[in-house]
Amino acid sequence: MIVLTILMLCAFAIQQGTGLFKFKELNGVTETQTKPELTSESFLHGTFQRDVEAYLKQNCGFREPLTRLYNQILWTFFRYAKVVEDKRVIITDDNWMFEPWTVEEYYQSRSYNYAVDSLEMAQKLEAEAQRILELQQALEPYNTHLFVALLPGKEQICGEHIPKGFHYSREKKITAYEFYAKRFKELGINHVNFAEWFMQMKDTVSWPLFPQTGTHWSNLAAQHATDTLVRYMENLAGINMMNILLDKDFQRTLKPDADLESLLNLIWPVKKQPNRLSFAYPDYDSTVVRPTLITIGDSFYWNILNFIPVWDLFEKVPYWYYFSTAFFDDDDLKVTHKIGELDVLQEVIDADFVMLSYSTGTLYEMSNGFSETLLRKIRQKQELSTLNY
Amino acid sequence: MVFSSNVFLLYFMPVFFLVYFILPRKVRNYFLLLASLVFYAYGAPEFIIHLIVSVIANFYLVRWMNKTEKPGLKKLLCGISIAISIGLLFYFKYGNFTMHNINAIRSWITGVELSTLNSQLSTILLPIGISFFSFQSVTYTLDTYRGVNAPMKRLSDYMLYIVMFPQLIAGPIVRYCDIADQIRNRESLYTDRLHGFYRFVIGLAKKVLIADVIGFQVDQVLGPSNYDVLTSAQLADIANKIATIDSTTAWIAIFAFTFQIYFDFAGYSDMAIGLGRMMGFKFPENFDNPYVSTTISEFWRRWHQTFSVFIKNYLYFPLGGSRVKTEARKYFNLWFCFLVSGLWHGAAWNFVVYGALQGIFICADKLFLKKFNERLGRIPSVFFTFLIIVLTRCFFRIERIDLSWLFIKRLFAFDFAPFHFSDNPHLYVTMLVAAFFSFFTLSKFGLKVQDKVYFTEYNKRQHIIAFVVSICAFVFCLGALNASGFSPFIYFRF
Repeated sequence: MIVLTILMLCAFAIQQGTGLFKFKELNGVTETQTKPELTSESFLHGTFQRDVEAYLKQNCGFREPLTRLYNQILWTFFRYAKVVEDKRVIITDDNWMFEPWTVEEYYQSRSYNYAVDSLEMAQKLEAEAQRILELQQALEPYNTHLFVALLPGKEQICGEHIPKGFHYSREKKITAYEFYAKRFKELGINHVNFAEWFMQMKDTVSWPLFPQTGTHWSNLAAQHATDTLVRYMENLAGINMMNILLDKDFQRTLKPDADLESLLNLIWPVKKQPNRLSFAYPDYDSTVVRPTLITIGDSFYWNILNFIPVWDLFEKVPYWYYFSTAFFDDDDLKVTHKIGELDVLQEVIDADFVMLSYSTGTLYEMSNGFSETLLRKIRQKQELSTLNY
Repeated sequence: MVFSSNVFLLYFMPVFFLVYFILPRKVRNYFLLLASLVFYAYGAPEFIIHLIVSVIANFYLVRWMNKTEKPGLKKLLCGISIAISIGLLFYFKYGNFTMHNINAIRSWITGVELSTLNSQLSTILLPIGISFFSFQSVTYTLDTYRGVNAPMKRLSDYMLYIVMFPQLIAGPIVRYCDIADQIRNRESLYTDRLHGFYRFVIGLAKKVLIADVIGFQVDQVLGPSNYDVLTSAQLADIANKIATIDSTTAWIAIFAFTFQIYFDFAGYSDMAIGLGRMMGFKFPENFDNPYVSTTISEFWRRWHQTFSVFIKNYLYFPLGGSRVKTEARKYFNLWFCFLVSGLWHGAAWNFVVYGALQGIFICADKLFLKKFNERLGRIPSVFFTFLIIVLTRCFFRIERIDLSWLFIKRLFAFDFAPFHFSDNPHLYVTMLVAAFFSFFTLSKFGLKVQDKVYFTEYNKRQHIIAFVVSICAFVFCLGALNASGFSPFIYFRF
């Protein structure tokens, strides 16, 4: 038993050194602690010792199972999770999970506090709306159709599950979503208001539009949205695109989006509703048009790219994630570029559609500078062609 | 290096025991000495030379003292040896405190800003464990002087007695006479090694699973335990927090701290005793269920026992103890010992007040409180004594007298708000567990269980059960140490 004890004590260091056993990595993002360098100065000042301890906390042998075991015990017996205490996740008694900042945005404590005052934020949103309108008009001569998809946020569709303690005061101000929905209509900006539509249909669908323990919409919601998007694009450009048919007799159950649950780093999954949807397949027709669609937006679009047969619907579907990283369809979305490396204007002109796809939580940062960049490039191009002329 | 750190648990301890048990008995002490010096140097590299030099000086002084036949010289050498130990303790621990107080008087007389005077001082850093190893060297000198034990023949043995890593940082304060024989001749049976490991894990669990969990929330309410490191803005924030705290939260916070400090300190002592036992040392016990005491005197016989024994033998008795001419002197001796005890805990006025209060309660015990408690009956007197302990803890935890006093006022402001100390049910359960184990031995059954777990030899089946439980607890503690601070973001999106 003594030998066993010493072996057990040594096992952690051996595992750290050799990585003999492989474990599922812990989820979530933290700041990485680099291996400290031993110098006489760092040792004498005690910074080396402090950094070693911090490094070992992140890299000790069997860290993953140890962390999951500890988290699971606290979760099972106390429903306690550190990420909840640190306000990374809100969890309700019936296991609905929300990102706190999206809830704050919904109740207007984020976007209006983001700027110096609400007036400044309102001016920012108005300027963005004006730029989008200008861009929409500027792209028309190139036969590129710009439109906005106002996607619903979980806090909006499943707001009834948000615990009362998180219902912030709304006062008289409006949210970024309410602002844009109103102004887009007034200005005549092309847009599809999925948020409004989903609110209307949320009680009529057979399976949830948002997963209990994830941030993003469910596959079912993405499926409904894609169908509507295709119809919208057909109308906008006057083209005939391929239909996506649903086999209602063939229901699939997919692993639900559980990005918030994953932060809990448990051993066993939290009990939740299944993520079900009908099997979707393309109605192959050689006469249809397969346009190119560039999407700029937040992570909600992944659920369309990953689960809907978009490759049959479109020629190309580049995805400019937050107008920061570009994912291309050449190799199953694995080809990435920094936006700065692209000829953004040429890419847009070559495309048939450009969609700004933002959910309610990220609307206050609509386009992430895309509209501004593109307008500047268009103006530069126009000035250049005038000079050449 | 602290016992509840990854460096100790995952590297130092396994490597140390692996090598220690492989080595022949003859060289084990040398290896233990080397490991202890590494242990200390890792935690306080800038003080290792001070430690070694003072140990060497003390060893040769005591040797000389023992050899000399002249009583005057003997006395002088004894004095020098004690002066070195206590002088270093005074310089490092009380240097800043003394200078700040002198400056306060200077400021009062001259009218110069106190902060200006203090800014001219260079801060003296405190070597870890100095309060403990200074006292141990005093016991060596005095026990040798009194002829209780002969001095050690080898410098390495003496150095080992002083710097042995299990008890170097936070005790127990092992008197020389208690351990002199064990240094060269000790049995280390396999059952001792196992019992030592079990004891170590019990201590680790007390520290990591109870004290740290409660401590986290106490810090949220009362600020960090060491106010020296805080800026004036942070201190103002704490003062503001304390001024606006409701009575419910204040009471829960101070109860929580009372449990935290017990499980923290007792846990550390358990770990030290366990590590010692794994090597065959029998260190004295340091805690004996202090919170079931029916009087304050009893509490101090059960709390930090080795320190109380030290104060009794090396301060109270030399002062004359209870064999003095007047009653007043007897009570003064008692009170003074507790005043010194308070100051030993930290160089700040709040600890002086804490010690003075304990002394007053001890004197009150002798005068009337003990009789009053006896009339109350056992259980009420336990809770009455506990309440006194809880209240005096305010001066222990809050390192500024004005804030301690403000906090006590909040306790008795009777503006009880709805119960909301934390959203974390884990904390409440941990506090209940802490309370349960603090008072568990009030019952005979509890005492029986405690004796069985701590002090009885196990049969084979019991060893297997204890081993499995210890391994599981150890793994869970490691999980708690490394996972409790792990709080990832979903993405670094914005």
